[in-house]
Amino acid sequence: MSRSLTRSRIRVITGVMVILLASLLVRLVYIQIIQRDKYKNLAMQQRMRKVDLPASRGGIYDRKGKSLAVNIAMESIYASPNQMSDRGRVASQLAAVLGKSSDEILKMLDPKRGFVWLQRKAPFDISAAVKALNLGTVSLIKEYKRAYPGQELASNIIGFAGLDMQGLYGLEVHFDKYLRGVPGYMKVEEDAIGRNIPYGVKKIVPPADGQNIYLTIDSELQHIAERELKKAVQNARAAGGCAIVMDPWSGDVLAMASSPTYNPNNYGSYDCMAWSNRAVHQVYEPGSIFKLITAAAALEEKVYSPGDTVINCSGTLGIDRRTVHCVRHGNSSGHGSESVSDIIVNSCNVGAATLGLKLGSHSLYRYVRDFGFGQVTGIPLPGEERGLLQSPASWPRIKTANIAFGQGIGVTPIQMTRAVCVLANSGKLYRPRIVRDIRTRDGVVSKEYKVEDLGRVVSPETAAAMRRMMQRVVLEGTGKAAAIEGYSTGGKTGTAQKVGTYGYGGGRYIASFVGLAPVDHPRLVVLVSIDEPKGAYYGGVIAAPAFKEIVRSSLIKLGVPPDKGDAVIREDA
Amino acid sequence: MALSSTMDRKNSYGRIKNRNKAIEKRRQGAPLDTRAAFAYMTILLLISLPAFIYLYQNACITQKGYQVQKLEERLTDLSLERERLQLKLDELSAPERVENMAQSRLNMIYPERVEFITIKEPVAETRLASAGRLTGVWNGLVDGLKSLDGLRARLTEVEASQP
Repeated sequence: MSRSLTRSRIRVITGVMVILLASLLVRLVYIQIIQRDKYKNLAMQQRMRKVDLPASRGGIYDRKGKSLAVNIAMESIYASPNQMSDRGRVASQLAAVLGKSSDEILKMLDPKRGFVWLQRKAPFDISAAVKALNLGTVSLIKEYKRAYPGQELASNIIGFAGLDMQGLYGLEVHFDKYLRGVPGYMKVEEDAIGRNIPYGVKKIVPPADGQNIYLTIDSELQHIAERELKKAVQNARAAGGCAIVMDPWSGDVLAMASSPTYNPNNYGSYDCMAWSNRAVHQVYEPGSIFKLITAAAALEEKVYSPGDTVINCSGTLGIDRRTVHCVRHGNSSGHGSESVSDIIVNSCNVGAATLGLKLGSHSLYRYVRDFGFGQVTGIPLPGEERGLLQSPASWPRIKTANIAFGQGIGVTPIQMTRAVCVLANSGKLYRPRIVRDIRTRDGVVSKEYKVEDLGRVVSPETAAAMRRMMQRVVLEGTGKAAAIEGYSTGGKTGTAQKVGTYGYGGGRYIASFVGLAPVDHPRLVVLVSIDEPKGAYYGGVIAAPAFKEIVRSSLIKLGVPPDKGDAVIREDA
Repeated sequence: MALSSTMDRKNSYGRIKNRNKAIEKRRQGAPLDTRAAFAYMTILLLISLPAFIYLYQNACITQKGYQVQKLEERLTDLSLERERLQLKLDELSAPERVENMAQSRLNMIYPERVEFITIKEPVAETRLASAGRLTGVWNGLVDGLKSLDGLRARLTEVEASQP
């Protein structure tokens, strides 16, 4: 009897166990097979981590490959305050390293937040010190920062990029779409302590790194131009200035300096006016340097030949109840009998006005446009001004006369320099080039900015005649301070009154000198303009010496042999 | 007939008894035969050994994988260090800095006058000199041949005049 009771109990328990195991098996089948995909995805989500792969921003280099803007990896420090057990201790440990007070850091460590930046892109020594503290809730992440090894060198051209490596100014913003690249990502499996599982599931979409930009700028010539411009601005106690060095045969901008300037590594601590590139942003009345354009137009139209007598300058010229005054140093009488060449050498307003009136408003306007004024040059720099040039239909005679000697028209320094390049290269207008090409990281050229010939403006004979006049300016005229030992030099001085609220006057000037060297086959065209010099304000006194130093140093750097008899030449046996 | 049925009953009873004994022995956990046990163990080992080897391999690979990751991190750190050093080099060789160092530490100044030195090309002169020497040798040969011709002509005249 008891045996059969035992057997029946065993059967019951066995039955219950079987039922339980069967139900477990059913549940297992449900989870493992029927709901397989759902739980597999959940597990993958738990294990999989997405890591952003930032694209490396492209660099900016000069014409010889010297780096002007590069990337450097920094470590950014962040904390997870909601996982901290003792925020005070963490704050006091970090205070010494980060150079902030404990209270300041404690305020940042909001216990409700899971992520807070402590310092973005910290210097290497600070990040190493934080790493050494070995705080579990404070971590580091690699980020790239933009660096400019040349400091202020070419800063007004290059501009700067922001904290998140986005272009904000200058070439950095103008070419941002080439420089920034395309970020990628990586999905990896990680284990319980956050390590990547080797040979685990991995999906990588690699980043497409940004492309590099190569400029036409020569770092050494750029430094020379910046140095001499800074000296000239300081000596004249001026508000600012600009210097441009161009190759007249290709339109290449070899140097473009602007003052005031700034250090793009720390752009935020400068006034935004320092960021401006005066070469393309400043519009001003050029004054007497514009007489070169009027004279070239007159010669090209064969209104006069270089030696023809144009006028007997008495010091004034009456035009429509207005009077044009001739500026003659220390003497109120005129220049007397003048040819076209004399007008340039003497910088005679009356003579220039006469040339302009003889040309006529429409003809003068046409040449002014042909020389590139009243329109953007197309140089790839952001915010280029087109200048100010009204239609000739609205020009009264006095306006034609004014424009002939450089008033009543607004130009930018790059327009003026390019126009003189026409006289230097025997008559052709080129588009200014500051970017030579854009290359991938492998060095393959993806976009090239070729030399662009925009057409002939004047004949080679006219250009040669103008160069000889410019040489006379340096030898006999107002540009003697621009003469360089060993090299023939030509140029034109300019001292333009700045227009104020109530017209001219107010004692504010722009002193300029634009020139070329050597005269017969110019290698360089250089413009220097100084804004609002104090004390002496003439172009021949303030700007010409800076021109001389820039050209002399640049020609020697370029290895251009001297062409003038006063050069000291020694033969090496 | 009755006897054989009795024998049959005895035999079947014996078989049943032996079977019950065997069942009872098994129920009591009687040891298996040694040879059978050895065979079972060998089979188990042959099945489990490859599995162990496979698992061990995987563990080693995973371990090596972690080491590779560490080395890759080290490689990344070194690449970043190289970038930092390159930047440092670019900063140190910036024209303004070099100029300041030259002036302040080396007391260098800008030259007042620049002397230009022209260097004669040596290659062109050597070629010319060699060409001159060759021309001289050639002219000497031509003169020699002419004088030989003259001598031959003279000898012919002398022979012709002999009786």
